Amino acid sequence: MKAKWVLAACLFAAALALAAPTITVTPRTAAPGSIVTISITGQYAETCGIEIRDPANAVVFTDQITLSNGAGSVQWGIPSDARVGDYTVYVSCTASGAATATLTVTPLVGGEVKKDHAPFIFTLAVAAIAAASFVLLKRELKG
Amino acid sequence: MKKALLAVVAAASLAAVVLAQTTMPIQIVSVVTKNYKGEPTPKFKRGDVIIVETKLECPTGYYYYAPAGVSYLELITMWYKNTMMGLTLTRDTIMPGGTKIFGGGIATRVGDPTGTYNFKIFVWNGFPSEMGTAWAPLADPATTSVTVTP
Repeated sequence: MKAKWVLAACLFAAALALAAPTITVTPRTAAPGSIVTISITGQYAETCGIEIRDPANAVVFTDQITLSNGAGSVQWGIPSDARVGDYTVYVSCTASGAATATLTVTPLVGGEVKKDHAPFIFTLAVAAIAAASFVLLKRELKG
Repeated sequence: MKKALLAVVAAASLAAVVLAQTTMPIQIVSVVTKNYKGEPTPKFKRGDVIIVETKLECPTGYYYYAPAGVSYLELITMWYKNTMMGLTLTRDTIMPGGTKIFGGGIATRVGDPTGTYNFKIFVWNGFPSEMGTAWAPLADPATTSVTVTP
């Protein structure tokens, strides 16, 4: 009987020791200007500190949240001048411990935008031909 | 008998956890935004430096827990919507019954957006990347906001 209690206590202690918050970064790859959501799953109403460091190890984001029923999330708007590369998300919670995750900031894909005027010109040409045909047809009918 | 004892121990543990989470060793007692002249104001123009002055206190009663004082990392972060636009920090030690005032300046850039900028002030025992599982907040966060015009 005593052995059972000791085993249960050991299992409980092991579960506590192994507990760590779960971090989900959505999306895992994003471009400057977009918003990334960092979701944390931990324990009950514990407090968690969040820190993001860029590829040069500079701090670009810090925040603190209190989980509700063991869950919470924060959002990070990636600055337009953010460095491209792998960012590390550090999360430390008061009860469930610490964990890390990574996210990748990719270059902003862009280029010269050229407006295609072809459909407009084609429509205009068809309308002009139709109008001319109508006028010619009307003249012929009169003559 | 054993079940009752276990229930008492569990309740005491829960109470200790709750107590530990609600009792912070440091309190942020004031947050004031100032211009470069040192005048308190909530209105700034793009390109201005926004000075955020905070006052921290450590209750006298905390002497029994930390007679040598509490070492902390104070972070002042500036936000526009979800983007952290700037950060200033200090590391220091506060004695029980003591007060610390820190004024950190964060510059706005000419090309930055206009509107409401929010400030969040955190007092931690270190960065999560430094402290890992030993990380802890040392004060309830404080917030304030300013308006930035063209």
